[in-house]
Amino acid sequence: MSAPLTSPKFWVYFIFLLIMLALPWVLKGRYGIYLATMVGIFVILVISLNLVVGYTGQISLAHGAFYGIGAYICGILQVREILPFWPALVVAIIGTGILGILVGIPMLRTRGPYFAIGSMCLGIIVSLVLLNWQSLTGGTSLGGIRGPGQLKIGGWMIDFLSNKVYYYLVLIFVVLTIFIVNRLIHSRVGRAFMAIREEEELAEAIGVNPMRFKVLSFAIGAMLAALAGSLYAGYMGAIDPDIASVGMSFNLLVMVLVGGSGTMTGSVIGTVLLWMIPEWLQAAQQYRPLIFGFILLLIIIFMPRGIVGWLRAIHPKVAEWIS
Amino acid sequence: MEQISQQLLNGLITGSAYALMALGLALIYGIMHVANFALGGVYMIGAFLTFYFVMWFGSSFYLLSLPLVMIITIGLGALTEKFAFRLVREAPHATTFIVALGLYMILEGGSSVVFGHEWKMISSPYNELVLKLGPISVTLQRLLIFVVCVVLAVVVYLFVMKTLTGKMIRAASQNHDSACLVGINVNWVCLLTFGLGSGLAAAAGTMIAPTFMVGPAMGLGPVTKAFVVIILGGMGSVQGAILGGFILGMVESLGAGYVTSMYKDAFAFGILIVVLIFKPTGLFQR
Repeated sequence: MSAPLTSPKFWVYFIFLLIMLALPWVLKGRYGIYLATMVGIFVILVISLNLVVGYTGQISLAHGAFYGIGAYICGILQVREILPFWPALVVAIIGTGILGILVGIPMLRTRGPYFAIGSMCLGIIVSLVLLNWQSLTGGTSLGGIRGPGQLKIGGWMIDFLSNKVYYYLVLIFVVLTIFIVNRLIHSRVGRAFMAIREEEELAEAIGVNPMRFKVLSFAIGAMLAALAGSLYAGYMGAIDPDIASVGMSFNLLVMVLVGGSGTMTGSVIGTVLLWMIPEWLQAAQQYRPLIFGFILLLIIIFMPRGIVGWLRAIHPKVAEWIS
Repeated sequence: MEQISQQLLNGLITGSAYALMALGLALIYGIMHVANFALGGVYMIGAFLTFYFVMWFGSSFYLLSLPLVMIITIGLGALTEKFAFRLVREAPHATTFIVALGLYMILEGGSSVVFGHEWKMISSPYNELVLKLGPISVTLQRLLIFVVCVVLAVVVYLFVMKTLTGKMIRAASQNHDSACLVGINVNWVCLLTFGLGSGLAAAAGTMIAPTFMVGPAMGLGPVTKAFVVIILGGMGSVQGAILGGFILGMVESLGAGYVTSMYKDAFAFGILIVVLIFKPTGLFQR
């Protein structure tokens, strides 16, 4: 972001942003814009998971749960007419962040596979609670979420019910997320995260408190997941417990790793690719899961460090442009 | 008293199947640090093979199909090692997990293409026979699950602990390079271990299938539970996997019987979180 105007890196970002801005006018029909909006929401999710997995080295399988919790807090507050969308979004982010800290403190004492499976169990329990606590969550689905509706600023009216406007709203939050996470990982805190990823004991020896930074990373990840969840709830108007399922967490982890864990560009590439492959495979009908499995297997076997890791290995210059 | 002994028996039976599947996972994790999610698919393949054997050769063939299923799936497991996991041996653990996930998708997606989506029933000749042991009753099929799973688990345990090949597996799981240095063919040992683990998962599928329905998605729940078991027991610990299986079976059965069946599945996952809070490396860490 601090790259000078003449560097290729700046132009890569600039062109990318231009394409993103032009996208709703290029794509045909509502479905195209729907896809672009969903990819945007998932970019926020995957980047926030990448902060925990790729930069701090903690394989979390609870990220789908935080996405779901954020969506449900934002949704329930609106359906019960306690708060309108924007304050509900803030409450969802703060509430999920606090939950992330409360859950992170006991769970992050465990390491490696213990943390991965422990967080998976947490995710399963969250989706079971969302399904079974019907008086609060509405059981199998929660409908009637109004979303941001219309916003009057002076003489202008912004209508968020329009698909294009909502796409741009999501795009603003995507850029904001990329900016925040980028600033974070280039700060002292980010270097502490990466030190913990490389070697926890060593990080502790040089004065980094691993617990504090692991919990911080986990909580920031949870807050951004809640942001994505709230945007989803406001977009769809109805949510169901499936969004918090373990399958969702698996998907997000696959996106992080296929793109290249620990790289910002990788998260974006992984998300776009794993949303597009099933679309391209529509013609394959019932063979789709089978072919998807094979593609996933081939990508990860031939590019064990993800697509960006592979690009870096074949050409260092390319890596310089995109990372 | 009647109810508690019935619940305990149910717990033992489910627990024995968890233990068998977890044993397979633990062996594979021990040797290559792969969280082999694909075993869920192998479990399902085992159940489908049994379904077809019984359909073709009659229900009296049910128990005979067990060794056949195991031989086929040992081969299948060895194939997954040779053509997938071996290629990512040096990669980070998270990467190997994605490989396992991809294999699971292939197995599930493949079987819904080949076998279809409909849930099927296996007619085991032992499903109808009910044994009464005082106040508690159990079908012969469920008793058979317990017996077969325990026997297989004990045989594999003895194989790993007492034979020379078992010693090679344990040596390779401690350190690949050192095992190579003393003349152990690590590639072969890995192949064997993946085969063995897969055979055990499929055996669990064969045994459990007649008491449930058979379908492409049936492996997801059991493999998730098996993960809980090996974490509960301590990653890679063979004894831990077996004991953990029985503990999980008991907790689930008692929880469902006495607290609430709505959150039946939550118990297994909740108990793991509680254990991890107090013992962050499982109950019986290696």
